[in-house]
This record gives sequence, C-alpha cells and structure tokens, in this order.
Amino acid sequence: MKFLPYEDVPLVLYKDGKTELVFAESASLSVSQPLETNKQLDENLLQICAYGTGSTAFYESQTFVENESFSVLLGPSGGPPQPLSTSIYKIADATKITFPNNKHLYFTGSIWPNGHNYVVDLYAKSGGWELTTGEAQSGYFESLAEYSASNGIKGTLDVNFYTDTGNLSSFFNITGLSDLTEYPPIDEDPIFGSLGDFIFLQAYLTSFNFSLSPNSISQASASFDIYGDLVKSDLLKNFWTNGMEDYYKNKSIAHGQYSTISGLSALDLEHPISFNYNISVDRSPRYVVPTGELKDSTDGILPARVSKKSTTITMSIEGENFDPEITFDGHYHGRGANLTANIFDLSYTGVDYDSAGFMHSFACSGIVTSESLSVSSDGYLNGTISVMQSVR
Amino acid sequence: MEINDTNINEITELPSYGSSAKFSAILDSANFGDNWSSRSIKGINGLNMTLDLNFNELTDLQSQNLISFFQSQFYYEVQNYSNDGSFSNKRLTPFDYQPFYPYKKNKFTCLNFNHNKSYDNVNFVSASLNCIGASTLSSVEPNNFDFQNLSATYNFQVFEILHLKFVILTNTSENNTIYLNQYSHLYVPNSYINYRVLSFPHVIPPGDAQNIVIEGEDNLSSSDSFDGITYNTQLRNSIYIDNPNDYCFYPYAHKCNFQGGINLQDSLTERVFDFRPSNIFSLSHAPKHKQSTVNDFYKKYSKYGLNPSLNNITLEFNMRKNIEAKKILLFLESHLGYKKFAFNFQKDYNNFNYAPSNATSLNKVAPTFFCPEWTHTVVYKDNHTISATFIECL
Repeated sequence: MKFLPYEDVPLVLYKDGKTELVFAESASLSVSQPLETNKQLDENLLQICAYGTGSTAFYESQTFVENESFSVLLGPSGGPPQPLSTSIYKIADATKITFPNNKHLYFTGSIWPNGHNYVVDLYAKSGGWELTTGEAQSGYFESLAEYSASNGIKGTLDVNFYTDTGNLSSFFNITGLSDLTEYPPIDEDPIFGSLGDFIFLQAYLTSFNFSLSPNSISQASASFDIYGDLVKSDLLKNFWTNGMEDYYKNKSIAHGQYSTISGLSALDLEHPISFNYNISVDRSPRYVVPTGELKDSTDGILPARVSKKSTTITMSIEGENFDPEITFDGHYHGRGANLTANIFDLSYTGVDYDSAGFMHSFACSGIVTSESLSVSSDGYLNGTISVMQSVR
Repeated sequence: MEINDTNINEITELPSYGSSAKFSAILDSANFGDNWSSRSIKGINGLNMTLDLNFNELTDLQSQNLISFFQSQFYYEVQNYSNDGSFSNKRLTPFDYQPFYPYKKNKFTCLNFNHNKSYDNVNFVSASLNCIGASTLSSVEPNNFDFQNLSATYNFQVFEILHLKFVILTNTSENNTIYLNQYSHLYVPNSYINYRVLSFPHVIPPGDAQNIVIEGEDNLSSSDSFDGITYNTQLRNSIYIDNPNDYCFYPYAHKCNFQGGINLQDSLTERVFDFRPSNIFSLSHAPKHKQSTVNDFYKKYSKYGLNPSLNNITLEFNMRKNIEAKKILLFLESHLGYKKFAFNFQKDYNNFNYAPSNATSLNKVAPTFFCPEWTHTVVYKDNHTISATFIECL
C-alpha cells in the first residue's frame, strides 16, 4: 500500500497557455453522476412457454435429468414467446430459479440479454421431477441490473491555498475577462487542470474567499464546478518529479502586515481586526442532444455552455466600533459602503524570497446588510459590519 | 412584436435534453357489438409528429438567432404571381430540420415558440415543430408476417477450417440486397434460436455470399446449415425513423397454442410487442355493462355480453438505450396508430379467454392493442423515455 505525500500531489490549473501551480494547503476533488436502475415489469420472472427451441409453444411437462442441460422457450403458457427483459445486464452462470413448491432450476452459462433471448438453457441439480403448467409460469431469479445515467458527470474541486500574484488575476477572478475582446464581456470559459495524476477537463470557478488579519498570512479558499470524467495520466507524475524545483521556490504570498482596507472611516471603524471577502456565482450547464452522425460520439456528455448568473460579493469586517448603517433615517433600502482591500505580501527581498509588494485589489461597492456587536467579560467591545454587492 | 432579424435561415442550435417527439394518429372508428371495432386512419397524412424542443441556457445572440429564424417564416412579402395566376409566395414554407436520434431529416413548420429570459445573457427558448407532409406510404414495415416483398432469403452455412469456424451467408433472394449491422440477428427457421452478427457492416447483393462472424446461444457444428429470412434489406423504409435496418425482429409468425384445443391455429397473425414496460403501472377497471333507464333512482344493471373488460393503458418505457428506443418507436410507427398488435402486458393478466369455451372463434392467446399516440423524450445520452397509450381491441 502506498500513499502519496503532499509534495507529490500538485494542484495545477491551466488556461489560455498559462500554467499555475497552486500553493495549496489542502485540496479535494470529487465527481459523481446520477444513475437510475432500469426496472421493468416481470423482469425477474421466468415463464416457461414450452421445452425446446421454439418449434411449438405448447407446454408439455417433462421429467428432468440430474445436471443435464435443456432448452426452454420463454413466455406465458400458450405463447406468444417473450424474450428476457432488457433491464437485466447479466444473468450469471448457475443462477438459481425458484419455482413454487421448493423446486429449483439453474441457468446454464451466463446471459447478457439483448432483446432476442427467447430461448435459454437450464439444468436441474436433481432428477426425476417435473414442473406443472402453473409452476412453470412462476420462476423467480436474481440478476445484475442495467443502469442508466440521467444527467452528466458533475463534481467539485475545493481548495484551501495561499494566494500569489500569478493565480489571482487568471484563475480566481470570477468577474474578469481572459479575453479582453470578448463580447458580451462575460467570461464563461472553463479552465482545466490536474490534481496529482488526475486530470479534469472542464472546471468553472463558483466561489472564492479569503480573510485578512493583522500579522497573519492570508489564506484563501475556492470552489470549482467540475464537468466530465476524471482522467488518470502517468505522464503527469513524470513531468512533476522531473521539474519541480522551480515550482517549489518560495512564493510571494498575501499577508495582513501591509495589506490595507480603505473606506473604513465612513463606517466609523478605524482598527479592523479581521476582514473577510467572498465572491460567488451561480452557474448552470447547457447540455445538448447530439443529432445525426453525432449520436454515438461523446457529444452531449460535456456541457456546451456553463452560463454565469447571479454574481455576488460579500465583505465582512470586524473592528472596535461601527456607525449604525441600518437605519430608517431616509434610507429604506440600505446604506451604501465602499470597501477596497489592497493585498500586499510581506514586502521584503531576501536570498530566498522575492517580494512582489502590491498584489491585487478587491473592491466591494454595495450596501450594509448586517451589523452586530459583541462583548464578553475580560474582553473588548467588537463590532462587525457586512457589506453585499450584486455584481450581475 | 418581432425580434431583430439576424438573417439566419436554419435552426443553428442543438436542443437540450428533455426535448420530445409526440406522435398521434387521426382515426376513424366503427364500433360493433360485443366490443368489436374497426379503425382506419384518415388519409395518408394521418400520423402526425410534433417536436417539442427546449433550448436551455442560451446566450442572447443564440436566442435571437432562433427567434429570428422562427419569426422569419411569417415575414410578409409583397404578393408575387406565378405564370398560372396564383400567388407564389404566400405559403408558409416548411423548412428542413434534422431532429435528434433516431429521427431522420424532415420538413417542419414552427407555429408556436416561447422565449424566456431568466438572467442577463441567459435565455430559454422552446419551440413546437410540426412535421409537414409525412406520408404513411413511406412506412413499409410489416405489421404482420405476410410482407414477403420486403424480406430477403439467405442460406446460412457453417464451415470449419483448421478448427476455426466460419459462417458463410449467401443471399438467395432474387432482387433484395441484405444489409446487416451490429444489431442484426439471424433466426433459425421454425425455432427461436438466433445468432447476432458481430462483424459488420455487411451489404450482400442478391446471389452474393460473405463470411461473417456471429455469436449465439448454441454451439454451432461445421455441418449446420439452414435457409432463413431477414427483413434487413434495402427496401426497408420509415416515415420518421432514420435507418430502420437497425431494427431487427423475429421474422416469422410467432408461435402460440390456443388453450382448449378448440382453435388449432398455431401462430399469430399479428406482430408481438415484446418490449416490457417499466415496472410501475396504474390500471383502472370499468367493465362495460348495461344499465336500465327506468328512472333516476332505480337502476338495474345487466351484463354487457362478450368482451366487457377491454382496457386503455398508459405505459411508460423508461431508461431505454438508443437501439431499444428506436425499436419501440419503429414498431409503433409501423402500426400507424390503428393496426393492432399482440402484447403480453403482465403475468397476472395472462388469462385472455373472453368467451366461454364453447364460443369457438373468440378464444385468444394474448390481448391485442392499437396505439394511437405516443411520446418520446430524450432524457440524457443513451437514455430515452417513451410513453404510449395502448387501447385494447379485438
């Protein structure tokens, strides 16, 4: 048994020729597909219409010989014959058929029903007995079921990571454009990537959030919707083990030390102790029915489009105070707030560290949706304000 | 109100899963005593197909193209006269459209379509397309087993060379070419033994022979040989279904045995619908009876006569793979909405002696039905649902 350690399981995202190794603390990837069982009437009922391969549909009982295989024509007594149900994927060799009065027959060989199985071969494990016409209509057996997918393969990629300049603008930017000439200016392109040896082909960012606090590294988390199956490739393992040095260099990561939040004074809050930013988007896939020659292709398995719908930014900030913003004083529909988080790294340059300084700005121009106060014994009064912006 | 014209002259988008095709027959019916009846279809255009197409999650441009195309069918043009003095441009011209599997390209008109916008740049368009001019004369599928002109005869012979077995199939018919594919089965006459064709495709002109690879329930010996019939020929055609040769069925009259030995007929004249419905059904019983009309409060009921319990059943065939859905649809189409077929509904309804044993001609082996309407929905890739109304008849 072998478990791969963290350094052997890189999370990599690809888009438009750019490759980004995500400096992740944890990542999880899962896909699933809704499947339903095909159940049909009397699918596990075996009715013997007649013995033989179908020269007659007249049931005439016969005495069985121990372990001697014989053919039966399936269907109700008197006919017409009826093939095995197509809801059965497989009937295994020697599957037992239970008839009334503790009588049993067994299938000779395995069967994969295809709609033409009017005749099957059976045998008895003991000889000298027979089935009456009524008994022969009531054999029950167990089988492996056929399943059908009722929708596409969908999953999620959840990752906790440290932001750096390379991934913020390209891979974790819900509202930005990968192609500036795109019209209408809505970027719905997928990214693809890999986690360890597993490749996913269509990933769409659905949420991204991070938090800041003084003297702390900023940690972020993101969720992607994944469409399509996971593909395992040994090539990736060779690639990463041969060229990892550059990717494992120290990175410039966001830190609360020099990061700033502007717009606080309007909220009467001067000393923030924590800050949280979240952006999320609703997405819906469009699957299309392949037509004509495409019916047997992979068309129709992956979505032709994953639309972007409601996109919302929420920020919450905690500090020593706040100015009540939810009032009836002429503002029946919320009061506005403009907050901008300017993200910096530690901003020093050393042998093993190359600072980028300013990394990215995240703005939220919305309305105050909640405010709260909390205090406890031996503590200070803390105020929290949440701001929400509907982007589209 | 009309959307901005984008000058699109065809349906450029593929429909979404959940789109469906609906079939209905326009029938004339004559009812006789004891629940006997006779039906006929009203003309050669009496079996209608309507496509209900959904186009989900469209961009503004995609939805504009679709609506623009549908509306453009109705754009007024200045009247133009042809040489014979009639208007030549007033007709609502049908357009070509290739529907989803398993249908073939046909001509349609779109008289109803809806456009819903659920979000910025997210649209939903639904459209109902009526197939125009499809003729029941295009259906050459047999509805019984007397359709010899469609079939081809062949000789099937097993050879063994160096312990390897080959099957040589010789087309012994005079003028029908045999078309075999991966769905074809070759049945042994006077038997239900059949062999599935594994190597394909095979096109065997009359008089020609080909080596083919097969699989089946039986172990073949090198001396096996038989003369068989197949309906997989170049003459097969359908009104709505593309490539009906994908559908292969038992090519002989089905065996049966009329209980009691009164009627010694040993084969059915109808084809048998031997697809099984999904395992949930609802069956309402209201046996036919007579009621006196003496007054409102005193009612006297009498037995109707023969065949009082004919049923109408709505059956669901869920989660069918491509080929089985195609078989069901082609079977129903080949009966044109009014021709009857035999169907073993369920084990508990297998007793079909409508008449006392001395009523010689009415004993039946399996109930017979006709299917005047059915709906086919594409649920997902290789996953189809067919809902059909079966009306029991004699």
